[in-house]
Amino acid sequence: MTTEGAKIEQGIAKGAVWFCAGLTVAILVLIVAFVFWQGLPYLRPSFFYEGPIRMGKEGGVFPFIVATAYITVIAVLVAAPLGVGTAIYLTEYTRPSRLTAVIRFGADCLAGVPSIIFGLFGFVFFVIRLKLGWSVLSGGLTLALMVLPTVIRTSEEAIRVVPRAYRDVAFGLGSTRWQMVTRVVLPSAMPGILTGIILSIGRSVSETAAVMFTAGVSLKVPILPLQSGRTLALHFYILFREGISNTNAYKTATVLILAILLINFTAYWLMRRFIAKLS
Amino acid sequence: MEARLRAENFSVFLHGAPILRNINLSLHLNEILGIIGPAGSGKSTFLRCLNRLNDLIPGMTHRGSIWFDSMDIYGPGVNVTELRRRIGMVYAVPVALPTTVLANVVFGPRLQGLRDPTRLREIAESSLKAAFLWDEVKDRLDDSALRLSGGQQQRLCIARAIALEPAALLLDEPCSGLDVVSTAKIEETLSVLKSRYPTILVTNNVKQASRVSDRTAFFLMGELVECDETRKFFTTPSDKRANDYVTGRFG
Repeated sequence: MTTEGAKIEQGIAKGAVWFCAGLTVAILVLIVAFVFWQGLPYLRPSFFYEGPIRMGKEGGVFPFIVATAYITVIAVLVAAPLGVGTAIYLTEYTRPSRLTAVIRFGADCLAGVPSIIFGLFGFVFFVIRLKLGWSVLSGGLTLALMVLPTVIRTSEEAIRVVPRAYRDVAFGLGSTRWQMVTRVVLPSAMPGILTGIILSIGRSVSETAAVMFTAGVSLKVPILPLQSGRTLALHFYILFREGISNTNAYKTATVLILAILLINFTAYWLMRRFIAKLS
Repeated sequence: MEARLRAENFSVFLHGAPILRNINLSLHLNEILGIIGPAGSGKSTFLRCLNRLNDLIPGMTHRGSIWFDSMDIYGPGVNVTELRRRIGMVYAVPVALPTTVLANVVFGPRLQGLRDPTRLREIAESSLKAAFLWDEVKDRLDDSALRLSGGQQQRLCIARAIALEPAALLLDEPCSGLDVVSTAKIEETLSVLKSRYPTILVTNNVKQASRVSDRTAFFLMGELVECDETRKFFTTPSDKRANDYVTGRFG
């Protein structure tokens, strides 16, 4: 190919990747801007700390913020140790075998199951079978199952890229396997593991279908784990679906997006500080 | 001569294929034993057998025995973790763990459960001094070890190994990625340390072996071809292959 040809090719390629990146960002901005445009001008502080009046036609979303946080915390508290533990087992305590292949395949399949199916399972298993009823606990456990594959696979990936040399050093200095994992591998893999957990938090906060059948639709602030609670995303869905109030639906959506932005910014800020401390 | 480590008819196989054949070699007190040989001759494998680091490699089996003082290290009931703590190891690539200089040096003692900060600091100071690194890092103990230069990181690795007061030091091509100045510093360090820590130095650099080792062993294709006093080895090697290798005819 001539130099001239290569130059033109380079120009076209550059334009194409710019276009892809630009379009992606544009779509994202468009969605967020649309929701904010519909919701932000009407958002008052009272919307955050007041309870709903007349099924949410008026008033605020305080109980739903609490329920969302409650359910997400339960989901993460269950999924993070379980998922990271599984990842440690897969990477450090076994050699590749049929069993690990089955676990990985299972995790991948689980990741592709629609959330409504998790909702159905949660309803049958946690709500009915374990008699937990419609509760933030049922909802949290269901979400934990739903995000578990994400936590496992991201943690596994993060652990796998920790240099083998670190493990050799730890063993060479007389570490047991567990000491090697906790003192060398996990600290090095922490940014990657946290990324997976943050993704899971995001999915838990915004999940609708899986909590609809499990956490219930109560309008009250859930105090105990066995009380029902309605998440922000579900509240938004109900306001829209039942035609209760479109304005309040958009306001709820705005709160939801703000919450996710806040979580992501804090998480990445924490992670950057964590990495800066190490290197 | 009293032997600290002694391999007796020691062979290693990977999935049945021999990697090391009938090695008989010992490390004496107060000496540096240099091991030279072309890549793939089994030098590193041998070294990693001495602290049983090869246990971690699937499919690797052995025959024969290795004695650490009067203990058969592959014998039943041997505490491998304790063995690795007693035999220090430094790798080809300087591996500073992603934490502070201080935490790197006292990694081993901390594993042992030592918590007292004053004591840990004392250990760090004496180990870093022994590795001739103290003057360069004494004001940076709480900085990340990853900010040190390659040569400094390698001396940090040596300090980290001797912080455990090991009975022997194993060095696997410790200078392969370093410049001449850093290499000289490490060689000087090793020469001073050998009276406290008998050392095996695996190296690709024949000249390095001639400079620092007291005895030199030559490995070729999994066999120990020759082992002798360094001076004799380099002036009048008895095996032709050893002679060819040190005079640069191959390798």
